[in-house]
Amino acid sequence: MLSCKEASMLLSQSLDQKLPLRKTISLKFHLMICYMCRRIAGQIGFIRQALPTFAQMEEEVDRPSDIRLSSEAKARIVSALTPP
Amino acid sequence: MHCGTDVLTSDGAGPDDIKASRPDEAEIPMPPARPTNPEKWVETHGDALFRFALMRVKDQEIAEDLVQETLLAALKGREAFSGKSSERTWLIGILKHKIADHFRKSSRELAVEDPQLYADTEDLFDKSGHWKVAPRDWGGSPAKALENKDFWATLGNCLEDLPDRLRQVFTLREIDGIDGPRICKVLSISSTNLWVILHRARIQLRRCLEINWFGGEKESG
Repeated sequence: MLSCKEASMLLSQSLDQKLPLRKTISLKFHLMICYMCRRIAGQIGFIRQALPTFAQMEEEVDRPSDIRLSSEAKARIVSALTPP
Repeated sequence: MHCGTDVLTSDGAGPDDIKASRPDEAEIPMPPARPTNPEKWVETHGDALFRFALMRVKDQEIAEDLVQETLLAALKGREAFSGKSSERTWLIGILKHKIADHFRKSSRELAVEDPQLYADTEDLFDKSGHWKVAPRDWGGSPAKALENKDFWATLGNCLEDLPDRLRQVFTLREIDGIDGPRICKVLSISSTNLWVILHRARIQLRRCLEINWFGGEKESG
């Protein structure tokens, strides 16, 4: 009988590779009886589906973020771009 | 389902816009829709390029270098900019190639911290492996969130809040669609550690969205 910890690890792994049959069966069995891990399964699946759109928007639209180039880095890059 | 340029296996040739603008097609490429102005690049695109790089490499210094290399390459190749794509897309295209180069030649990415760090799941599970905090119901149709631009900002912030190594591995895997064995190879991590890192990243990201987005929703739905 898998614990939730083991089940969620397998769940994550199953997004990246095909699990061996025995593990797939244990995971399915766990999901049948555990509503919490069923939620986790739905939610990490939802995140995966959202990511391609996110990636596309990242390339096209500015969003508010705390991560920015420092003003030193900006100055350095500007001067690298400017011929002496 | 992944369709992004594979930043780890790119052949290092010029960006698509440059390739596409070779006059071997019947159609002669149009001059840029708007002339590009290098002096404005840093102001207009610097932060976005930096963020894009920082999601994929280990640290800030490397990301800054990559932005600089990208803009220098853009400066050299700017006559070839076709104006078919936006300036931003064109620059990101160049940056992807710079990131691919970085992974190909550098040992700067070698893991310095111990990925076993993330194997400790005491904060998530109790001793018998049960969830410490029960995952909540996100309501009937979480897909509605996708129509809200604030949701995308929240997702972005949650990704940025992941510890560096988690963010990097997760981005390479989920956004760039690079397969596990390849990630292990370029980042010099074992496959066990890869699974641990991806698991941790997914659970942490899920939790962050639950707190910052779905938290307000009722249990029913």
